[in-house]
Amino acid sequence: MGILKNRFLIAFVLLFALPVATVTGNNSTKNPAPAGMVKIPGGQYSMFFENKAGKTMKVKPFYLDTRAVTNAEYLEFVKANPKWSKSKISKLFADAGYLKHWKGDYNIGDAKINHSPVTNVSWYAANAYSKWKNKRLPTLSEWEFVGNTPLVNDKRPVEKVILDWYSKPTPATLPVVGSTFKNKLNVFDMHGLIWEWVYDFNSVVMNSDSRSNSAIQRDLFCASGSFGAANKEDYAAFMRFAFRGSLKAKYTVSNLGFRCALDFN
Amino acid sequence: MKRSFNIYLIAVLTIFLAFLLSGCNSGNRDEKSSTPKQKVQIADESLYQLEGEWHNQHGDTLQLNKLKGKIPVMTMMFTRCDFSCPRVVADLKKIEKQVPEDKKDQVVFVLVSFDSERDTPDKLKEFAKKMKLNDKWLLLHGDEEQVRELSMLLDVKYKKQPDGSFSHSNGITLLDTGGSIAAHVEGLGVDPKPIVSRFNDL
Repeated sequence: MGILKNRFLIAFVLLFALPVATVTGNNSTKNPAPAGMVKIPGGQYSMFFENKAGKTMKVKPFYLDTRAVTNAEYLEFVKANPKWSKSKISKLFADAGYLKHWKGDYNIGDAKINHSPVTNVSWYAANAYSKWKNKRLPTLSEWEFVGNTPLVNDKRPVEKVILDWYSKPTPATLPVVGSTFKNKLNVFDMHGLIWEWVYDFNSVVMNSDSRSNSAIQRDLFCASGSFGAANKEDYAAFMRFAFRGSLKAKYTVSNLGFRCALDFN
Repeated sequence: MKRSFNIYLIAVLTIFLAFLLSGCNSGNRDEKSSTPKQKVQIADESLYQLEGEWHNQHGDTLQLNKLKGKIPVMTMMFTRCDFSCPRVVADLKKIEKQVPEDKKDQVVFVLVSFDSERDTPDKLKEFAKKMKLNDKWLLLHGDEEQVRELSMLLDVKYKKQPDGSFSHSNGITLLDTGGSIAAHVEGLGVDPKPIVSRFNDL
């Protein structure tokens, strides 16, 4: 992945991006959020694409982890649920790279990464962890809503920050969670640390009654003339959606982790 | 001009990215070509590990492992779908006509609905009647989360639209008698040969 990002460096640095989403909503937080979570006020969100008719997505209020799940936290889950350990995991639910950076079933192996985000986990694993925590994975709309929120510790537009991040190789040791960017919703590391699974990552389909499985590819990549994207200059969003489109639920990637969400009642 | 060139450039780069990413995992994704497992116990790649409960068009509750020993041909759809779902059913009927005589007792056709909210067993029954589906056809309703998980396993993409319909990809998946994926075809009106040619070795 590091090499991959380098390859895009020149291309992406030359291009510039404009905001894709308009995030609106209010910041009232009367009910305290569960530990480690923050309330995300609902609002309108212009989805990156599927936007031909100026369609906006409504995001209901929900809670979101302020940080991604760490190796240490994930270890607790594995200890309590041995069938999700490296050696016992079903091939149906993860590919061979599952937790490959860990030393053993119940051994992370390097204390330096205890508080770094857990990666090399499949969607099924992330989903199972979330359930174990009585939480769930955020939906794509929820994630994008939060991900497009301006930052507080960096003046640059979100897209610029993302592209700069994409242009750098993934460090050999991932930094600890909470060490990169914080946004105005008090959520850390939406960009700058890892890519993250979302619950419905396989929901990127273009039209109702898509005539073939390649509908997304056709619309995303080739039909630039009749393009449905909300903002054709947001290369960062193109990257995210293309990445999600290339994933299968059992894949594990060394810079793909997750954080959990919770319904707000 | 410049703008469209940029879009073109980005499209090419994005495809390249997707290609590279998929390349990273090429060693782990050949479930389609794996040899079928005849074992009666649950194989490591069997879909019968899913424990969720489904409801069929007759209102019965069942787990997927009830299909153990059968040869299921599975797809996902929703009954209010105007265009592609009737066509998927037509594709499956085409496959049904090509089931070898000695496999007819084993092959079943399973339609799983995306529409957890509206496709109740009654609705599924109505649809089965309308589409003239015989008792070899199993129509399943499950909760939203189960459906999402199954869609991952069957490699189907879908999204609920604000109007309650679903945009979705189309795929047909053949399972072996142990519930592992034996073959998969994508799209509508595609050549069912990858499925049909497997019946005899399952």
